[in-house]
Parts: sequence; structure tokens; C-alpha cells
Amino acid sequence: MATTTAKDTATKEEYLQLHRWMCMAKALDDRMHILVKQGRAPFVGSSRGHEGIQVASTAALSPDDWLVPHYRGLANAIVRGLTMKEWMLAVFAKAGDPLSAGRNIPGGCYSYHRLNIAPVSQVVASWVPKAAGIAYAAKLRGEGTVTLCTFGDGATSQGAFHEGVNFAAVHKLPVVFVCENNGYAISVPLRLQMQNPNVAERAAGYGMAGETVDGTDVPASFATCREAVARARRGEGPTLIDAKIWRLNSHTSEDNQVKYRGTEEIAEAARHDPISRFNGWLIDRGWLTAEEAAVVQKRYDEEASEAADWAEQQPDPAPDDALKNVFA
Amino acid sequence: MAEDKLYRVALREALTEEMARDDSVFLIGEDIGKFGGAYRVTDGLLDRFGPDRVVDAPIAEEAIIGTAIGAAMLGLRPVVEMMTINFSLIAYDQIVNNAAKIRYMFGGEAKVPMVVRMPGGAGHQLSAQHSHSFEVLYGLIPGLLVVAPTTPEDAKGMLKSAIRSDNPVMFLESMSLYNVRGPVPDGDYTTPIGKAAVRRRGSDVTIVGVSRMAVLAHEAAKQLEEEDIDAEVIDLRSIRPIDWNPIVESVKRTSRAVVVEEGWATYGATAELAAGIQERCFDYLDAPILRLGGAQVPMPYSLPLEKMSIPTAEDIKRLVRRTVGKREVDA
Repeated sequence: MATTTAKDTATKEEYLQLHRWMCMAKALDDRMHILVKQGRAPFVGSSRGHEGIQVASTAALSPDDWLVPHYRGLANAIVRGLTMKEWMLAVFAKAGDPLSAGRNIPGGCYSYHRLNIAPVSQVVASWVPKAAGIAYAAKLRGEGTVTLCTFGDGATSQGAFHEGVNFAAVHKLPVVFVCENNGYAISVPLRLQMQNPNVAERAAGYGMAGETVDGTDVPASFATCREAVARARRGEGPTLIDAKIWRLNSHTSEDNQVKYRGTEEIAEAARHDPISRFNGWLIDRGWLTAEEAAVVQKRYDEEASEAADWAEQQPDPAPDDALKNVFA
Repeated sequence: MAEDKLYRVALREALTEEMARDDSVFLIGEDIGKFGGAYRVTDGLLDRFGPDRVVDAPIAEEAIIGTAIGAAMLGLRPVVEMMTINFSLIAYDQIVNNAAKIRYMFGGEAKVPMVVRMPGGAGHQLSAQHSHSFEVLYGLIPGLLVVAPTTPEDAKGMLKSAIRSDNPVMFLESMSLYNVRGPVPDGDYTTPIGKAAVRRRGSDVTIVGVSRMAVLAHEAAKQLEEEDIDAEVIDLRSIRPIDWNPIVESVKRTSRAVVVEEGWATYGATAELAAGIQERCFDYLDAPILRLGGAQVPMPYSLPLEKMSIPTAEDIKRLVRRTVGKREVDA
């Protein structure tokens, strides 16, 4: 297991908290796959492989800051304070689902105002200009908050990505753009998406800071994201971070990645699980034992299972409410 | 001879045969290569025709449609796949301000023989941003041909017509129809764009269905036989231009009309149909034309909510009973 290249920028307790969040996300993710296999839930968009950069970027924020995530952002939501039961209410599209009231696809499509999480869109990159707008509002109102905007490599091909990032750079907005670069736009590999695989190098073109980081390396990712958030808060403008990661599962439960990745590559991806890597790093330091890591994961696996069983029994949205909320 | 085939297979056959027949036909879209398309329509075509003619594009719909328009102006025949019709909104400027207008704005100098295939409709728990029925957004635009085939036979025949057309064709597929099986004639054939299809003859009422609603209307009509209601069913097929002749001929005989679409009826395709029918058949009508569309909400994810947001055969039957003056029959 490779060790991180970053210097320590956090305490043991902070690292262990990041670890717990990652395990929670994995537990929910794995449980959702089980639910789909069992025919109890219709859909899952997996976040496996993304947990490291997601907890690192989101933990770098303060509670008043804003998160504008993409639709694979399960671990982001957990760091902001989302509970397992709340997540499972969304998975089953129940009336009490705080993320969308049963209106939106689960697996990352959420909005949670109480936690300063902006609504997620399924239209790739459409949230990048929105993130710039949220940061613009915060700047105008002198709030001093930072906006974290996440997306995948696929989103960087869209016009909306360019337009949003450029606006943020022009106005030196307090935004941290994190590309969770897993190398695939559903089935389309990076080489068919961009000639230069280093997304952060585009930052120079916009006149903003750019950083490349190994997104499976949690300490390195945390250090990079903390610095980017600090830069934004100092009024020095946005940062574009390219976090290189591996997607461990298919795009969603609707496809089979064997068809477009091949078994060899999928096996290689499994060797880049950020949780295994972070476990190894914590164990090397003597901050965690393998047994403790297994206990933590098991505890969350059980909690996810219980949350699912509980959520499944909750009431569906009432048909009479179907027309609610079309207008303010 | 005709063999039963899936709607998606009929589409694939049309693409395969046209690509084999004409080197200028190529495909571009998201995940249409190894992945075979989000709905598996292009499965196997990358292997057969190679990456120059089956182009896996970056996620950039404006670029996909824009490059297709450019290639079409130079004589190629691009067939674009939008993963869902919803994503075509990102390229709406390219379609509306460019594809539809280029020929007119430049005095007939250029043409844009491009097909944009896109699945729409709801019913698969894909929620608000993947469940649109946008017939009206494209039906509104002069310069576009807009079709919505509902049978495997029409899917193949109309896609061939669309590819051979010298105009931009918006080819609206319904997600719910991809797995529908039906007879597909052998050999090379085309189904004309601009022609409606009478699916069932009847004398009491004319039901005009748009896209998948034509299929539901047919089901409803069969069930209404038990109630001694004899409904004629017309599958609009061509959203633009509308084939008024069979509709007018039918309504003049039945004196009653129900028009049905899956999307929002306000300002919708059914608004156009109802207006057109009353303009042409006013003196023949014995009852107001009734319209049916989906609930006026962004499509909800929750299954019970989604079900109540999409028109059903029961809903169609209820409207038909009303227009023929029958009292509600409790289900």
C-alpha cells in the first residue's frame, strides 16, 4: 500500500473522523447495491472509489460554507451531516425523504438546505455556473463563505463547465472546483474526452490556481483541499483541483462496466480503493489496527442495513401531494 | 414476409442498413460505441463500422449537434443519438437557431440532412430530468421534421426515411417502446414522414394519440368495445408536418374527438390538434374536443407519484365516455 506524499496537515482525530465517514459511505453504497439486487430499490449510482476525495474536500469546509455536489456525492453529504436513515428514505423515495421528498433519483441527487447543500442536477455540469452564482451571492453579501463544487471528468467537456469556471475566475470568487477524475464519462474513456488528461492545467487558461492530486490519497487530498479553501477565503479566487481516482463500480446499476472496461482494468481499479489505502496509512502510523478497521466497517454495515429496513417501512409520498411545490 | 422484432432492434437494423448502403451516414453520441447506447440501440455497430463512423463523443451536447450540423452541411448524413431528449435542451440553440434555419437564412444554399434520435417519455422512475415529452418544443419550429414512431415497423421505416431526408429530422423515440415487439417487413422499405396511421377503424369517436399514447389509445379502444363504444384510433406518427387528412376524414364521420399526449397538455401537441380539428370540422362536431396529457409537474421519482402523473388507458376511456355522453362506469 503506497503511503502519502503529503505532510501531516491534520490531527489523528481528524484523520480517524475522515476514515469513519468513508466507511459510512461505503456501507450505504454496498447496501444500496444489495437492495437493487434484491429488487427492493430500483436504482443506485455508486460512489465507490470517490470516498477519499469526497471526504477530504468536504471536511475542508466550515459549516456555513456551501456544497454544490455532483450526483455521485454520497460521502460529501455524509460529511455535511446527513444520516443513514435520511439517505435511505431517499433511496426508497419515501414521503419523509429530506433530500427530494421522493421526487428525485437517489444515489446522489439531493438538495438539503439545512446542511447548505445545493440541489444536484442530473444534467452534467449544469451546476458549475450555479456554484459560481452561489459564490457570487456570498461575495456580494459579504458572507465570507466558500463554495465547494464537485463534478466528474465527463463534466469538463460541457460548455457550462467552461462558462462557470471562467466566470468564477473573472470575479475571483471563493469557489473550490474539484474534478473527481475517475477516467470515465459513463463508458467513454478519458482519451476520447480530452487530449490533455490533466484537467488542472486548464486553470492557467482561466487565470486561476490549479492543483493535481491523487484522490485516493486521503491525507494529500485533505491538504490540497484545505489550502484551496483557505485561498478562497483569503479572497484570492477559485482553485481547480484535478483529483485522480478510480471508479470501482459500474456507472450505475443500469450498466455493466465489463462491457467497456474489461475485467483486467476493473481488477486494477479495485486495487485503488481509497478506503483500503487509508486503512493502510492509518495502520502504518499505529492509529488504527486492522481489527479496529473491520469493526468500524461492520458497525456501519449493520447500521446501513437497519436504516434500509426502517426506511422501507416508512410511508410513500401521498398522491394528493403530487402537485405540491411546482410553484413557490 | 414480416418477422417479429423489438423496436430497438428495428432501429438498429435501419441504422445498419443505411450505413451499409451509404458511406456518408455516420453516428455520433454519448456512449454509443462499446456501451452500445444507453438503450442498446447501437449495440455492435462500433465493431462493424469502426470509430470513424460510430463516434463516442465527449459529454457535450452542443458540440455533438453542432459538429453534426457542420458535417451535414458538407454532405455527410449524421445520425445523432441524444442519451435522453432532456439533454437536447443543452443543444437547443444549435437545433433551433441553426439546423432549422440555415437553409432558409441562406437562400437555400445549404442543407442539413441530420437526424437527431432521442428517447423521451416517462414510466421508468428516471424522474424530472430524464422523463420528458417534448414533442411540442420541436413541433413548434418551421424547418424541422418531427416524427414519433410507435411500432417496430414504423421505427425502422421512418428512421430510414429520416436518414434519406435532406432536412433535419427530430426522431422521437419512447423509452417505453424499446422492448415492444412487432412485425417488421423484410427487405428495404421506408415509411413516409408526414403521414398519420389509422390503427383501428371506428364510428363513435376519433382518438388521436401522440407517440406512446397512440398505443394506449389503441388498448383503450379495444376495451371500450365491451361498453359498445366503437372508437377510431389514429397514430399521429408525424408531429411536424401534421397529416390532417385522415384526422379530418375521421372526425367528420364520428363527430367526436379525444386527443392524447404523454407530456403537458397546456400549449401542448394536443392543443394544436384540438385547434386544428375544430378549425376543419367545427360544423361536424357533436361534442367539445377533449384533451388529455400528463400531470403538470416535473416527473416525480416515487413510483406511486410517477404512476399518477402519466395518462393511462383508463384515463383515455374516461374521456371517451364523457365525449360520447356515457355516464362514468366505475372500474
